Amino acid sequence: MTIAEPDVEHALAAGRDLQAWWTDVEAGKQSVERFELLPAFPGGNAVRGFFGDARAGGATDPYMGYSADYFFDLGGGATADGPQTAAWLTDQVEEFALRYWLRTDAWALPQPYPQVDPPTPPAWLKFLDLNPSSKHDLVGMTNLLRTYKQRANGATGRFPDAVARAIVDLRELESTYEWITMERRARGLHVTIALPWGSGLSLSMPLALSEVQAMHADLTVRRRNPTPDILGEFGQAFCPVPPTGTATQADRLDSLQTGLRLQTLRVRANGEVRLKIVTIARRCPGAIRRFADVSALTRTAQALLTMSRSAGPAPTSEQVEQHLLSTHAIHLRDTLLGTRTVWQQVTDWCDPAAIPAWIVEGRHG
Amino acid sequence: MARPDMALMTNATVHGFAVAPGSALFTEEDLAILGQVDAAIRYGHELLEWWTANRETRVRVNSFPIARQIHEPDLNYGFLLDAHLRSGTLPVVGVIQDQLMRWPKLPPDRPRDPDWMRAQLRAFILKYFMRMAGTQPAYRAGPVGGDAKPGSGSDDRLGWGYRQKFYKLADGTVGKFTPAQQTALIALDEVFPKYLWIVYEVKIHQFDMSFGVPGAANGPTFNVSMTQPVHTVMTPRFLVDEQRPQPGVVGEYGYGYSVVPNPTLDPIVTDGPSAIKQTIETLTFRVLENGSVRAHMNFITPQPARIINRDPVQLAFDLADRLSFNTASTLLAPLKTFLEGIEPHVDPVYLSMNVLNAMTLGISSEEFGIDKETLFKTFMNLHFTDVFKMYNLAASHFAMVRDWTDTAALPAWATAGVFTPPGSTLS
Repeated sequence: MTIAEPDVEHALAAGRDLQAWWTDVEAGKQSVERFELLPAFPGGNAVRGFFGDARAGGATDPYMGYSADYFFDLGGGATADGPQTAAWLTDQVEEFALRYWLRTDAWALPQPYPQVDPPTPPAWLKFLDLNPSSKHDLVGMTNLLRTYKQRANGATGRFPDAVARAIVDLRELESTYEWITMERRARGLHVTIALPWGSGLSLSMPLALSEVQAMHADLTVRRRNPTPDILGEFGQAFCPVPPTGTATQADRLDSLQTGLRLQTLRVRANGEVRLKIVTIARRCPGAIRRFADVSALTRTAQALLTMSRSAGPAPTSEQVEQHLLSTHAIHLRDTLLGTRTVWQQVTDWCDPAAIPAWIVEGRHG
Repeated sequence: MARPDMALMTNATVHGFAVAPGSALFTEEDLAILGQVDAAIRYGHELLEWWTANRETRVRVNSFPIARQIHEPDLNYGFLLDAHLRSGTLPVVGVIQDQLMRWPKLPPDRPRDPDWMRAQLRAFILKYFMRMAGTQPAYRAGPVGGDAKPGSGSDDRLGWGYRQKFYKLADGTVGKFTPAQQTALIALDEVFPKYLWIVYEVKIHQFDMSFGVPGAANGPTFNVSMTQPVHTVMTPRFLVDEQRPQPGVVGEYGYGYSVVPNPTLDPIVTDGPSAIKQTIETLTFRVLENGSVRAHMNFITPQPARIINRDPVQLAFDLADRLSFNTASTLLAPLKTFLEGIEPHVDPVYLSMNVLNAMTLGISSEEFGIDKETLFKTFMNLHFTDVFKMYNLAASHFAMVRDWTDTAALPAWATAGVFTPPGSTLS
C-alpha cells in the first residue's frame, strides 16, 4: 500500500477544516440537518446523525455523519471513594487512551478460533469455499502503523513491520512526529438488504476492509479540566487518507474513506468515564442510489414471486445512507466499548510492570 | 405474545390442572406449552445431574475451544459427548464460557472490599439482571428494504428479553401472569418457596447464521435470522444463591432453566431456539477474593437428529408452484407422490453433506469442514457469541449504578425493566 506524503498532508488539512466546522456545528454556529439515527438507551443519549455541507480541503462538499456518547466505566467502590478515585482515574484514562487504546482494538471481541474454523481448502478448490470470513482474520479493528514524518528534520519513512502493531504513544506527536499514518482494518462492517417474503433472510455486503488514517498533534485531544464537570478528556481525531483517485470516485462506497473520525474518553467528576465518537464522511450519492436500486429490485422480485401488488416502497437514498451510518456506528460502538474488557483487566495503567506484554507490543496471538 | 389464531379461553374450560386464582386467561398456545413443562423439568433435572457429575471429568477431557479470547483468564470450550442418563443415552453438544464482568478501578492504596461487591452482585443478579437483559431499545441497524425503518427494527435489539409467563404455586395450581406482571419479573430470591416453578419467555436477539458465497472469502453473505422466543422453566434446583461456596469465591448467584419446546410453532430449523428440548442453560456470577466479578454460562443440548424441519420434496414443489403459478403440483402430482414415498424423513442438510462426502471421497469434510461436527461447533460458536454480547451489555448496566442495594437511588429503567428513550422520534 503506497501512502503519498501530499495525500496525507491534504487529508490532514481537510481534517482540520472539518474539525473546525464540527466545533462550529456543536456550538450552533453552523447548521446541519439532524436526525435520530439510533434511540437513547441506558447509559447513552440517542445517536444523532446529520447531513450538511462543509468546506474542507479547498472544496465544499456534502457530508454525512453522526455523534455518539456512551457510558464506558464508573471508577471506585463505595460512594465515599468518589472524588479521590476520579482524580486518580484521570491519569489512568490519559495513559490508556493515548498510549494503549489503539493497540488493543483488535481484541475488543473474541476471535474465531483456528480449530473451530473450517479447514482452509487448497488453492485449486478455493473457489468453492463457503466460509464467510478468511481464517485467522481478527474481529473488530486492527491498527497497524504505516508511515511517519519526523518533526526534527521533516524526514519521512515507513515504520518497520515488526513494530507496526505497537501504535506509538500519541503524545509523541507533540515531540517526535509531525504526523503518522495508521492502517485500520475493520472486519464485520457491512450493509444489509432484506430478502423477499419477510423470511428473516438478508444479504450482507462488506464495506471497505481497511483505511489509512493520518494523525497529527493538532488533532490529539489531551485536555485537563476543560469544564467544571470534566476532569480530563483524551483521545484522537483521525483523518482518513482516501485511496488514490477517490476524488474521482464519488459514486463508490469507498468515499466513506474521507472526512474525520474522533474518539475520546473523558472522566467526569463523579468518576464516570464516557466514550465520545464523531464520524464525518463525504456523501456518495452514486453508490447509494445503486444500493437502493438493488433493494428495490428485491422488492420487485418479491412482488412477482408472491403475485402481490406491492412489496412496499423502495428505500430512499437517505434511508440507505442512514442504514450505512447506523451500521458504521454500531460496528464502531461494539469495538470501542469492547475495549472496556481490556481496560478493566489492568489494575494500574500508569505502572508499566502491570501491563501485559501483548498489550505493550500490540501483539495479536 | 399469543398468535392471532390462538383464541383466549375461559379458564373454566381448562383441563389437566387447577387454575390459580387471579390468573390471566390462557390461550391454546399457552396450554400446548404448559403441556411440555413437566417433561422439560424431568429432562432438565436429569441433564443437570449428569452435568454436575461430569463437568470436571468427561467434559473436560472431551473439550475443544470455541473462540479465541486474549482476556486471560477468560475461557470458553465446547464438547460433544454421549450423556448416559437414566432415561437412556443422549448425544449432547455443549458450550461453556467464563468472562470478566466487573473489576472497578481503584487506586492501589485503597483496599478493595469483596464483601461490598458481593452485596452489589447479589442485589443486581437476583433482583434486576433478568429485568434488564432486554432493557436496551432496538439498536441494530435493520436491513435496507426490511419492514422497519433503518435503525428501528422491532427485533433488532441487543441482549435477551425475559418475560415471566406461567407459574405453579406451592398448592399445585397453575397460572399465567397478566401482561403487566410479565415484565415486572419477581426477584429470584423471592420466587421460591411460593412457586414450584416459573416459565419464562426469553427472546434471544441477534441470533443469526451467515453463509458465504463460494469463492469470495470476503464477499457477500446470506444471513438467516434465528431470533425466536424460547420458553424455559426454572425450578429451585436451578437457582444459585450462595455465600462463600468454595475457597476464593466470596459469593455466587445466578439461575438456570430447562427449555420448554413450543409445539405450536413450525420453525424451519429443527434446533432453532423455540424447538429444542432436553436442553439446559445456567447463568451464574461470582465475586472473587480480589473483588472482581466473573460471569459464567453452561449450555447443554442434544445433537440434532436433523437440521431442516421441512420435507425437501415439499420444499421443491413449493418453489416450483411459485414459479409456475401453482401448476407444478397438479401436473406433477404422480412424481411428487412417488418421491414422498421413497424419501419421507430425510434431512436435506445431512443428506447433502453425506452425498457431497461420498462424491468427493471425503474432500468436502476434510478440506471444507462440511460435516456434522463443524456444523455443531458453528452452532455453539453462535451461542457463545450471543451470550458474550449479552454479558457485556449486562456488565455495562452493572457498572452504571454505584450502589445496587440503595433501591431509592436506582434509575427507573433498572427497576421497571423497560427503558423509554426520552423524546425519541423512533417508535
